[in-house]
Amino acid sequence: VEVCDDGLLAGMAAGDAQAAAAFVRRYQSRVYGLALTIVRVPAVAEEVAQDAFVRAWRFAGSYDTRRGPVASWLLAITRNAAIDTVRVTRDQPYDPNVVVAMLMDGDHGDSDGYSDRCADEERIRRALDDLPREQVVAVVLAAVGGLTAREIAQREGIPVGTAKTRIRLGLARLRNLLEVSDERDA
Amino acid sequence: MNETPDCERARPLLAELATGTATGHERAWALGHVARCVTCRQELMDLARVADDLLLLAPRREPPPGFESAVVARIADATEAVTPAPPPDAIGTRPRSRVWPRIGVRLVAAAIVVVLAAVGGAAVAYWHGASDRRLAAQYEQTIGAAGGQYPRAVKVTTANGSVVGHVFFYTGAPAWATVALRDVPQSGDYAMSVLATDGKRYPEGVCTVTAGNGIASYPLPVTVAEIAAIELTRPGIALTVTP
Repeated sequence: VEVCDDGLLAGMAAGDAQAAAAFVRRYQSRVYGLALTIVRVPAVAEEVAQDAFVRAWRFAGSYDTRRGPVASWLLAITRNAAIDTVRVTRDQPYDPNVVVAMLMDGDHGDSDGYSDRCADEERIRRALDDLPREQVVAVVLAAVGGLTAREIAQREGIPVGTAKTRIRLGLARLRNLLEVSDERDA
Repeated sequence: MNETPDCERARPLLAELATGTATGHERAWALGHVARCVTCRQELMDLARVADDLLLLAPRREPPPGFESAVVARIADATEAVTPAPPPDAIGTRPRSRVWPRIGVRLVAAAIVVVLAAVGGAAVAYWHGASDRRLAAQYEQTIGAAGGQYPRAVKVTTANGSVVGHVFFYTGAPAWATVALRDVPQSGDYAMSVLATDGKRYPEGVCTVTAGNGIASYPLPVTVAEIAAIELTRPGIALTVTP
C-alpha cells in the first residue's frame, strides 16, 4: 500500500529513516531536475537537491496542508536553495530562454509514474501557452529563477516598471486561467 | 470586500510578494498591509500557489547513484547534531527505570532548597532591588511602546562556530531585527536574508562590515517564530543565525 505524501513527511519528521528514504525516492527526480534547471551544473545541482531534502526534513513539522500539496512545498524549498546558491556563485547566469523552453516543452524526463501529476502539469502548461510570451518569460524568471523585477528588466532590456507589470499581469492571468480550468474539470 | 486605498496600493505588489522577489521598503510595507488585510492576504495566497505550481513544470532528472543514501545519511548526521548522545552510564547495569526516581528525589530536594532561599532572600532583595524595579519598569515601557512582547538576542556564528555578533529581535508592530557584528574575519558587504520555516527566503539588503564591525536593521517579513535562520553571506564566507 502506497503511503501518502503527508504520511511520509510526518514519518520523516519523527525520525523514521524508512519514511525519509521513501520520501527521497518519490521526489528525487523532481527535486534534482528543478535544481539542475536553475543551477545548470550537475554536481552543484546534486548538492542543492540534497540540501533541499535536509531543509524539508528540518521544516517538516511546519508543513501545512492548507498551503498546497507536498510536491509544491518541496519544490519551493528546492527553488529557494538553488537560488541561494546561484546568488552566491553567480558566475554562469542561465539563459532565461533556455529555462522557459525547458518548462514549456513538456519534456518530463524520467517519469516518476504519477499520471495525476502529469495531468496537473499539462493543465499549467496549457495556461502558460495562453499568455503572451513576454509575460511567460517575466513570470517564469521571477517564480522559478527568483529574479527581481530590476534583474528581469536588465536581462530583457526593458524599464523596471514594465517588468513589474509583466509579472503582475502574467501571474494574475495565469491564476484566472487555472481557476477556469479547475471549474471545467470539476 | 472592503477595498481601501492601501489595498489599491498593495495590489500591484502582490505578484512580486508571491514570487518572493519583492524588495526593500515596498516589500516591508506590502507585508505589513497583507498582515492586516484578509482580502489581500487571500489574494497573495492564491498567487503564491500559482507561482509554486509553475515549479511542477521543471523536467525530472534522475540524480546520480547513491543520492538517496547520501540524503538519508545527511539527515541522520543532522539528527545526531541536534540530539546529543547520552553520556556513558556510570551506574553500569542498573536499569534506567531505577535511575529516574533517584534523580527525582535529588531534584525535589534541590527545589526545596531553592524555594527556601528565594523566600528568605525576597525581603532583602526587595529592599535592595529598587534600581532593578526601576529598570524593569523602563524595560516594560520600552518593549510595550510599539506593542512588543519581548526582545530576543541570538548569536551570529561563522561556519566554524565562532561568535561574531548578535541579532536583536523586537516582536512589536512592526517587528524588526538589528544585526550587530564585531570581529568579523572579512570586511565588505554581506547580503542578508531571512529563511522562513516554510523554506522561503526573504532578501533583506546588505550589512556593510568595516574593520570587523557592522550594524543594520530591517523590518521582519515573518514572525520571529517563523524564522528558521538568518544568513549573512559574501563570496567565501557565510554567517548564520538560528533563533
